[in-house]
Amino acid sequence: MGKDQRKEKMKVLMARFSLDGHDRGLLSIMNSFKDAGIEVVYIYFSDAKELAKVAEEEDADVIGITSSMGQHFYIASTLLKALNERKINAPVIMGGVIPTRDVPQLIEMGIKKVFGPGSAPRDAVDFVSGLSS
Amino acid sequence: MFSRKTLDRVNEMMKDWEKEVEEVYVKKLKFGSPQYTSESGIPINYVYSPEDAKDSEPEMPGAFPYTRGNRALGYQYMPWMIQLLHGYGTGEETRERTKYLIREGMKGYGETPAVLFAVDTPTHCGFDPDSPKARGMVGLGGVNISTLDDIHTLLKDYDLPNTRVADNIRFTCLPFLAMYVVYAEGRGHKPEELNGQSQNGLGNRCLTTNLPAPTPDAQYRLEIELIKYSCQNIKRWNHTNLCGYVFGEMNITPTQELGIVLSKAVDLVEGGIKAGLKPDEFVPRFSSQVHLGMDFFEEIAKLRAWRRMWAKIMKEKFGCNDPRSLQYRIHVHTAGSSLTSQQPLNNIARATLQVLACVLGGVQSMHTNSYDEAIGLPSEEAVRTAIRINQIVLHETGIPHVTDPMGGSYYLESLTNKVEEEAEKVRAEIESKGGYFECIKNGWLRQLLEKQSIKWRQEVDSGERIVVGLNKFKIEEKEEVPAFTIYQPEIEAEITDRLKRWRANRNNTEVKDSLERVKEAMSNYDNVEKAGILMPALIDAARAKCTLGEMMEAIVEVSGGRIYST
Repeated sequence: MGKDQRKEKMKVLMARFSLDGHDRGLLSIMNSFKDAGIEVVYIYFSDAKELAKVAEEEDADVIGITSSMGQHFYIASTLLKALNERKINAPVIMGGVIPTRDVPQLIEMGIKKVFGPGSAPRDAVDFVSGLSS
Repeated sequence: MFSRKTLDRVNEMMKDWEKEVEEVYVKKLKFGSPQYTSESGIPINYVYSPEDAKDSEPEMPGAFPYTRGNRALGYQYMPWMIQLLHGYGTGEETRERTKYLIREGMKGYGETPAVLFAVDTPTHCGFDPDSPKARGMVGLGGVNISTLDDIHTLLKDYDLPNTRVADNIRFTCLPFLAMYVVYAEGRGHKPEELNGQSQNGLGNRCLTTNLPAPTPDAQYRLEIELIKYSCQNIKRWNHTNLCGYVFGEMNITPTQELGIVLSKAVDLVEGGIKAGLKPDEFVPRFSSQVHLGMDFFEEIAKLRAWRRMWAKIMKEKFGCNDPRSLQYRIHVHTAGSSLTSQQPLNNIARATLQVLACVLGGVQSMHTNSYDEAIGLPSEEAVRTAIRINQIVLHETGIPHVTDPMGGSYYLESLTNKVEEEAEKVRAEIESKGGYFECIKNGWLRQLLEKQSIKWRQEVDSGERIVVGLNKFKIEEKEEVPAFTIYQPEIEAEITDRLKRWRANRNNTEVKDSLERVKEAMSNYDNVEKAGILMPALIDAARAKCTLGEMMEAIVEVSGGRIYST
């Protein structure tokens, strides 16, 4: 997809990273993205390097990852490192079961936005839509 | 249930009632007459009368079809088991939590200690802690188990024949059972002395988590293998936990849950018969994990309908005669999906209502969620409170003094019949599509689950469904209940280090040879009729100190799968 078209339609790479079996939140959010005209690519059981490779191939505008078992710091650090290695600047957003007190540290690490328990899919849609304008 | 004369009188009274509603409420007070439906979509009336319950056959607890309970006496004779699924980090940490829970009141029947432990995802899937696939996940959401030493750490303080050992494991139930049998053997116990259960639910876990699993065909064969082995060797072992819980967590409705689980049971009983077993030999050892959500009366009706439908299917379809085959024993896990991380203390009220529904529905056993489980692993205070809910209902309210106290309620009897009807439709639909395992393969079940969870979210977002604290009655959350956390990197390093020592301290030729024999057995096991050939090879592998991951790898190398997506 060309750069000009990308402004028209955002593309989000959604990923369930590592062995996390929780995907109910992801399903709802992907559905809301699609309804809002945002293109979604979904991969799972990927490791950080595979994910970064797909992000590059797909030329994703945003990368969305989930963590529901307390592995958010591990995910953030390995993924951001792999993205840096490929010089990918697409913002990374994160959702799932993430304690509020851990959010500042995730943001400091380079996660663009965290959608913890209680966030509505709409919040993520608004955030991604906001990036295109 | 009622004489014609009674029903005629009732219908007269009903007409008066309808007239009053129409004239006073609708006309004068402009009452909008909303049509309520149950969670499963069953239309609910404003009031019920004998007319609605007239089709219910009179029944007593302890007699076919067991709608009112499996035994003549219920909680008066035996209170429900208070079992809490728990586990995290290393075996030592989980063992300490088990001790704490037992001290506070977790127990099986009588005074039998119950160890109902959760494992982490690498253990579920069969990746040893040193596998790259396990990185970042070791010890999260459950204890890590890869060696006999890990089992010892967890269970060394217990007298195995008098302990209910129940592992909540997804795909690696067979290797784990082989390891447990070998571990018990090392402590001088024969398999037939053991007591506990396997999950043996590869199929539903694959459906609801989409985690790396063997192919559906292989899952079916592995489940039948476990049934055959335990039925012939560990008589007291509950071989298969018919788990509807995981479907409920994907927002499936109560009637869908019941229909799906029964369709699975039918597939498994047919498989067991093909494997050469008689239904009465293995049907009594099915156990359960039922989801219990917030629709109070429909959930009670579901528990009653569940027993009735089970009894009818096992008697009429499979010709079971042993009463134990016809008595469905129910373990409930209160709905994690009903919890909110907002205003978490509200979850104690939710759990209390769910425990009450369970007791009115006559369950045998319960896991009650802790109020902080939407935030993370439960704290000690939160699990203790969950146990206390059970103890309060048991000792302070008098509720358990009467068996099936809802029996004869016009509403509940009618609703039980309706739930049965709706669940039967779901079961019949799955059957018409080739059965449960076929519906995993063709993607039908996964699509249903995805549709249901998206629907739930849309209802919450639109406000059509009210979840207190989440989309209504919200407050500015000042301070969240502190999340109970563990320092995972340290645990992962410790566990990986232990595994390294384990690998260094065994005969690797024996390991290799025994794994070859597992692969050979799995290759030969191409049909459920040959069930019984894989488990002996796994037991030999466990004796040769193979790890859980190595055994699973050997199975999957032959079966294919792992990343199977519908």
